[in-house]
Amino acid sequence: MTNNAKEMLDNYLMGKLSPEEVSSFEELLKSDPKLANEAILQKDIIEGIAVARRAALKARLNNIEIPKAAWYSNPKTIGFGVGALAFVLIAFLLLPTKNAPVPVKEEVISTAPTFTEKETNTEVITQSEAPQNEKAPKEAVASTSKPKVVANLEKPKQANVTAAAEPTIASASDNEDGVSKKSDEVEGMNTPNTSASGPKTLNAETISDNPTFNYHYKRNDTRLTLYGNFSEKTYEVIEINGKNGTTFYMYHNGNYFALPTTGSEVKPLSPLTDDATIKKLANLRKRK
Amino acid sequence: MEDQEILQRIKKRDERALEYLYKKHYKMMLNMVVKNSGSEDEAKDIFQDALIVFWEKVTGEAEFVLSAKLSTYLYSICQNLWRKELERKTRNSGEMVENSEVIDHDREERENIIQKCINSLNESCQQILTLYYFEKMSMGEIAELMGLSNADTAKTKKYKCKQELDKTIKLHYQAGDFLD
Repeated sequence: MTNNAKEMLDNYLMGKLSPEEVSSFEELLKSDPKLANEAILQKDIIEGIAVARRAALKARLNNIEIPKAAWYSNPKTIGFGVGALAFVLIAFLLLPTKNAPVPVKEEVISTAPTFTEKETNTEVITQSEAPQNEKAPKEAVASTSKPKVVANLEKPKQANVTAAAEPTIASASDNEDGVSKKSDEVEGMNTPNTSASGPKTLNAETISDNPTFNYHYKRNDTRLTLYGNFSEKTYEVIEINGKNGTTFYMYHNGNYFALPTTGSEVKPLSPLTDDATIKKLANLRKRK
Repeated sequence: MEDQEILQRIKKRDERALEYLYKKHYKMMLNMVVKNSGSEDEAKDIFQDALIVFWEKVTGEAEFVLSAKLSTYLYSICQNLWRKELERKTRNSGEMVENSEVIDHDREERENIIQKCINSLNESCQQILTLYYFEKMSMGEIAELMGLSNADTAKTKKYKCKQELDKTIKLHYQAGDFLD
């Protein structure tokens, strides 16, 4: 088949021929079985391309995390919901008032530090004993004798006190305070970490025009690359220093995201769905 | 985002607009499907399909104009798709009629071959063929989006990629004895 005939066939299948050209081409198809077979094949290929594209779009939509429907939206689950509520109420009345902290669910982020009651207490003492002077506590916390001050999701109020009061300070000692909160506009975002207990500061960059990646990220110990449009709604990186190292989360456009390291791989940003973690991260943000 | 802005974004093939619509209207579509004997998974599936139908309409029709609010438009696509799905389920749950669904194994096999061959192309070839044949973009638009120097360069690239795809598919077809 000549290149001309191929182009004609392509234009025919893409609806780019005039009505007159369509008529004459269809006459040609009737009289040339080989061309007719080729037309069937080309039609299948074009449909195949469409099928592949639809599947990719669908996969993209399917990756978007949407919170499960509220239990009260389905009558079948109302009974279960009432039962669960009653159970929680009874448990609340029976349990002693000194509640153990609720552990962060493993599924949220594989690198999430383990938070223990002991560590929580250490953190509480550190914070509560900290004087009002801004510099003194940071130096104390950053000292090598106590390198692993716990970032405290169990007690976000205490953990966040210093960091929230001084969000623009991104020094190593500040990081060691437990939780420090930064945004792309916060001064000191790129301050290199000088702590002896591992990297604590991320250099963040955004790439808005990547044709392949949109709302994706890539992260190693020192660099966070965000793909997509982050200029309309400010994103915020939430840093949590824990026993097992530093964990990063991000807040953007009403959603929270875990940012485990990906090495050189680019991964989609999927919002967290665990209500308890979201609530705790939201509490940290409120104390900005 | 206003309806018109969303349309403009989709016309520019900005997939984030689709994601925005998905998040924004998910609950409405979920309610519609769940109230009409569907599950949450079915609602998700139907709404995703509806958004793809909408995407194809907006990108495929140069003069596409919304005749109603975007949410109403999407709702009606969802309703139609769900109605069809319910009809299909009813048919399948009724008495089996002999030969009602003759599975064309050859056709299925040919479709599988085409998908495998598309996936075997390099990323830029897959992209240019998708932009031309599915997104129906002009060579000028493709050149701009892919960072190619001009429309002629895009046309040459598309031609070579298509030739490669045709050749691979025909080789597989011959092996499967599908070609006459």
